Parts: sequence; C-alpha cells; structure tokens
Amino acid sequence: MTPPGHEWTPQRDVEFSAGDEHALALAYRSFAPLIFTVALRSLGDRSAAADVTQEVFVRAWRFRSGYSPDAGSLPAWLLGISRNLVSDAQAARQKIDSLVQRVHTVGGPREQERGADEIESVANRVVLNSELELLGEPQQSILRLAFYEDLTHQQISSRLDLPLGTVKSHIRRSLTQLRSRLETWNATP
Amino acid sequence: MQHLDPGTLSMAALDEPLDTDSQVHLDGCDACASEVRELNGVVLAARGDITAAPLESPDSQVWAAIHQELGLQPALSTDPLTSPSPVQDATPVSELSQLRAEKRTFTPKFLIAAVTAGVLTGAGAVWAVQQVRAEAAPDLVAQSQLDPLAGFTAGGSASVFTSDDGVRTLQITVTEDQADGYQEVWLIAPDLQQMYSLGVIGGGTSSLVIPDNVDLVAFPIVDVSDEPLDGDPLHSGVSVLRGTLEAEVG
Repeated sequence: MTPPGHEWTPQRDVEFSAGDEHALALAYRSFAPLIFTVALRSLGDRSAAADVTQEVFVRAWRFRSGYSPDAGSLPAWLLGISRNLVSDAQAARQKIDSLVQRVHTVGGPREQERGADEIESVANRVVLNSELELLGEPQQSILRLAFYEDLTHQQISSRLDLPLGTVKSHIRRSLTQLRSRLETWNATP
Repeated sequence: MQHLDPGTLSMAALDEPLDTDSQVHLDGCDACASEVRELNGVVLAARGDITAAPLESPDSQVWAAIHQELGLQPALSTDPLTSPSPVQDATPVSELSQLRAEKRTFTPKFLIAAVTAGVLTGAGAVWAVQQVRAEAAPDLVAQSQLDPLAGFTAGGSASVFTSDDGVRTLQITVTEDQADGYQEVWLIAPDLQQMYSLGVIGGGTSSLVIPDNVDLVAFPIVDVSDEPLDGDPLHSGVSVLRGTLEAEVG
C-alpha cells in the first residue's frame, strides 16, 4: 500500500481546488486508506466506515470552493471532514441507543464529548503510524523500538548495533518531525 | 541558564531517566518542561496504538460509488487504490517525489540510482578536469548543489578547483550548521560502501584539499555528515547534505 504523502505535493492541493478530477483520484489513492482506517477504528464497522469514506470525498469535491490551499493541506482538510462525519455517525448511533434504553441513559452530552476526544486520538494514532512508515530506515526501527518496546536509547543502540550518538540524533530529529507532521494533519483550514 | 540540549529533551519525552543536573533543571524550567510535554504528546499518541496495525483499504465499491455520485470522467472509473498509476498527467511529478523520498531514506534503492547517475557524471567530471588542466590556471572543474536529507533544511554547494600545480580543492558552502555533533565532509563511491573523509567543517564556506590519489570518477558523491562526539571514526550514518559532482563544461 502507498503510505500517504509519497505522491501528494502542495501542487496537488492547488490542482484539487481548481477542480482537476485526476487530483481527486490521486487524493483518494493517497488518503482513502487513512480515512477509512480512522473511521473503522472509531465506528468498529466496515460498512459504516465505507459510508464515511465515500461521504468525505463526495463532500470534499462538492465543496472544494470552500477549501483554500493557502490555509492548509488537503489531507488535513479531508481528515477534518471525516472527524465531523464520524462524530455525526456516533451521535446518530447514540440517539438510537438512548431511545432504545431511555431509562438508563447517563449524561448524554458528556458521552458525546468523550467521543470527540476519542476520534481525535484514533486519528492521531493512525496518522502517526503512517508517518512512521515515511521516516525511512533506520529511523523507523529506532522509533518503533522506543515507542512500542519502550527501550532506552542505550538499549536501542545495542539492539541495532548503531552508535549511541546516532540513535540519539535520529530520535530527537524524528520526534520533532513527527510533532510537526501531526500539527500539519491537525491544522484545520 | 543553560537549557537542556535537544537530545536530553527527547529522552525526557520518552520517560527515560535523566542525570541529576538535567532533572533538576527540567523541574525548574518552564521552557524545557513545555517542550518535553509537547514531544511527550507525540510519544503518548504513538504508544496508545498498541496494535500498530497497518492501514486498511476500503473496498472498490466505495470508489465506484464516489465516481458515480460525482459523475467523474469515465477514464477514472478504475479504483485508484488498485491501479498502479491512476493519474496520467501526474506521473512525472509523483515519480520525482518518490525518487526524492527514496533518496532521503538512504536506502539501497537510492544507492543503485546513485550508482547510475554518479558514475556518468563522475566520468564527465574527470574528463573535464583533464581538459581544463591542459589550459593551466586554477579553475572550476566540477560542482554540485548540496540538498538536505530528511529532517534537515540546510542547503549548500560544493565546487572542485584545480590549481596550476595540479592540487585539487573542494570548496564547500553550507547555509547553516545543523549537526548535533560536528560536520564532516566525505567523498563517497556510488555504492556508498567506500569513502574518504576530507575533513571537518563549520558553517559558511570552507576549503578542503582532495588527496591526489582520490579518483573523482569512483568517488563523485559529496556528503556532509552529522558526527556525534563518540570517538568513532566511521561515518555516523546521519547525512545532512548530499550532492553528486558534475563536470563544468567550457
């Protein structure tokens, strides 16, 4: 699978907003898996996630006049639309749930708020994971060991047989880069 | 007051124990603490993903539905996720960006591309050296722009000059010293296995002598590395800038 970002350049943002259908196809190719995965993990249902994915791209295309490449990248905009749609889908589901078991509903609005945080963190995780893949080697292996296996710099250095200084500079540079990538994805134009 | 260096901030963000002095500083410094908090946000987001499962793709019906609902041109009816190159007019640019991405990751694939490009331009460079030498006077014989690798933003250039007595000098300019340790300049073979260290440079412009026996055909890649202060004489594997020398014709 093509991780997002490989093919997508700022020039594509401009082409999309200018109404180039090829740019829409390329946007789908680059970002549909990420958007589908965020929806799938938030809703836990492939068919609901497919509906959200379809609606994200349909809306993005129909309302492309509301998108400005100067204000942010297209993937960030798409992710913003999908957050809203996922949140709507969850709210609709909760409404049905609460109608069904209206006696036991506890704090509807608070539940919904937690839902928004939840989508946010699912989106962050999925984005981070795909950005990790873009780091290349050995950065990706180093960061995965630090994140998921909780190894120290020293342990990573001996595990991968890399000088400690190299591990340190990869970690600090990759962390900074991932932070700025997350900011880019979360910037809502 | 001396703030924590970026490496230590990253260690703190990953919840690694710090030495006492650093910990004391961190406890009392708002600026460093806030930097650690931000980086720690990235770490927490990543660690929340226990599965670290790869992305999943929607079924082809999803694109079919989008295509139909928006009435897109028939040429785009194939699911972009299944066709290798769905976008005709975008291909050259996307190939370019992929090439660039590969180059930045320092992978074997890039090395192979570099072999092809490097040997050709390198051969040209030496041919030009010989041509120019016949005319005497120190002259520019080869040069290259230096492009940043992933994680860096500095730029630069490298030029090879030959003096009357045949001594070759690499004049190298970097717009900014972005190394955590120090910057070392290398001439590297296209296979990225063999290399010569030419010396250590700071920011700005520096001149380094190229040893007589170094063949620019065989070692056309100019590389600026970030070397940690660990006493290890080998290339750290972290490259800041890189370019391939090309002959100056005329």
